[in-house]
Amino acid sequence: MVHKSGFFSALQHLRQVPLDVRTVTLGINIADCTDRSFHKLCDGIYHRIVDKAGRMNAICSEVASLMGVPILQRRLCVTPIDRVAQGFNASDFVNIAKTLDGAAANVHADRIGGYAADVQHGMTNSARQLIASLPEALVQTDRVRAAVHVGSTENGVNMEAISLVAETLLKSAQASSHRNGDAAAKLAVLANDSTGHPHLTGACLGDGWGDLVVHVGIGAAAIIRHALEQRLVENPRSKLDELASVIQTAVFQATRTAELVGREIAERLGAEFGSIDVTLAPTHRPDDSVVDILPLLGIERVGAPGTATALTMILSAVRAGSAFASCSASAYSRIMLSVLEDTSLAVATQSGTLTFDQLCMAANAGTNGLDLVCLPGDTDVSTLAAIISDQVSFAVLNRRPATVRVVIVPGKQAGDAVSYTGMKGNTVILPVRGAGLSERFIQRGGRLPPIR
Amino acid sequence: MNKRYIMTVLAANRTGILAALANALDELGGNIQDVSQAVIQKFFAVIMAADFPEDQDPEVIVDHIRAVCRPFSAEVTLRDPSIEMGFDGEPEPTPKERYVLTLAGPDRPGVLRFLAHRLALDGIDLVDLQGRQRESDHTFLSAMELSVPPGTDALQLCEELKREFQSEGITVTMQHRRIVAALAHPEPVGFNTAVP
Repeated sequence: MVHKSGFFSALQHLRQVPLDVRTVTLGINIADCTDRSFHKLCDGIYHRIVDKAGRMNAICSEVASLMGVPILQRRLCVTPIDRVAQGFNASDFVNIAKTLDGAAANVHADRIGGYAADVQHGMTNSARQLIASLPEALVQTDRVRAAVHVGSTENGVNMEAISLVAETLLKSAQASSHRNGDAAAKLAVLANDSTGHPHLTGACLGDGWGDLVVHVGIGAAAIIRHALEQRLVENPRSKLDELASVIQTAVFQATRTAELVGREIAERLGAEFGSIDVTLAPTHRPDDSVVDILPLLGIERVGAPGTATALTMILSAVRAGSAFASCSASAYSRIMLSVLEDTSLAVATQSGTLTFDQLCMAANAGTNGLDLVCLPGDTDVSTLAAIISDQVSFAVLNRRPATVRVVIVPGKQAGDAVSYTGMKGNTVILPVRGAGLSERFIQRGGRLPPIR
Repeated sequence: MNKRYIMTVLAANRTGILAALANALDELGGNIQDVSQAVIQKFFAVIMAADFPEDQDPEVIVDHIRAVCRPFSAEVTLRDPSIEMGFDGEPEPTPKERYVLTLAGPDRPGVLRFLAHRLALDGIDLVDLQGRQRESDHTFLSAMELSVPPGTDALQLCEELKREFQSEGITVTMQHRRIVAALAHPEPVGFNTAVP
């Protein structure tokens, strides 16, 4: 039903916006918990998290109820652990991961980030120990998300770190082979995250933030789809610039709502309000993916020629809409093609319409990197390192942050189906063309110089 | 000293009705404190709180307005809130949250009845209501402002109403007044002074 006059038209516009907040992330400074005594360190970290985040879940529920806006995920992030825990070995780091996991469980947070190391220049002993602990730590914890920052535009890329992380990913997959290697999905390789971008997977409380800060994230796909559907009912022949303005308006509304919700939560928690991430990220709700927006624009299947143009248009409109809505909107809005968390994307890979190569190249159209893609169990370490370094290179060249999450599924071949109970995802193993042909390149090691 | 009255005027909606009403009030020394006006089809209706000089007879007020607005066939009622029965006279115990509730879909009898009963169960006041039916396809759109007691779970209430009306094809949304304001006013959210 379309009412076109004044007050009712305005009300109808409000009615059609399915507003929600995808993530609320509470950043907690634990830098001062550092201690030579391992017991005191873990005790300090645990109590700091429980003390600061103990009311987060209840407050999120209160504010969701008050505002009538659902909050889908509650997350925590802390100061990077490689800085907090200096001088401990890998098995100690596993126990720190368990401490984070326990504290997150205590406060009913869905995830906790900050189990992270920054190795873009070189590697401290604690960073090396943290990376060595990852296979065991990720298998033995549920909520912990880890990250390793391997390069940036200003500082170049640490190729030896990428090789080490690739090896770690393979070990993590092997250690969780009974669960199709799901531990590897909890490890993100980051690029251009020098300031600790709070919305990247596994990201930590970066430099420059206060002791306690609330960030919010929006899953903009659903709201954009609703807005486009409505406009196309009114005018099926809408031109692309008209549809871009519809996207801008929808994102403006979602951003404003998220800021209102985030500021209310921050005030009740006694925290600062941080930033708003307007990312086209999937949820497991049906039709809640950027893939479902493409047919509305006229791209019948994701991966068809024109997909990159459509994604660029969407991302540009999203950035314009969010920037006008709030000064706190993140400058790095992006598109997440998270195959395992995106029902529509998983279907596209299963039907063969979206290939591994296309996913890799989508990074040049504003996607987040290669996210939650399942590869054959016999993928060798140099091929994996080369895949990661390609994505990192795109990011440093384009001067934007990126995340790479790749799951090597032990015992599976290209084309095999795989499902994950924890992530509620089903997908197929994607074939990698040219596997094993980059070994000598990766074995050279060293660093990629900064991009000039 | 002034005395406050609550007054309603129902008249034919033609150009000049508001001017005539304002003239009459001015001649009586009246001063409007709060007013709400609506036009439904060919009728003009207004409800207002207005202050008049204490020695002004209520019957004179009604007769004068009726006389001035005679070309518009105005019906006037005047009530004195200080002697009205049915009010407990107590101020609202706690500040309430304001929400905008909208319903849209096929026009069915009984929607408002169900809604009003359901809202009353939670002690929710319906402080503003607007609605319109579209005859061409028998659909309606209704918007109302609710005053909701603290502690009410708006998310749950909205979900309940959605479930209730889903089978009839009626869509429901419920948004906090602050969200409506944030979407309507371009000021930064953290510094938005549009809504108290």
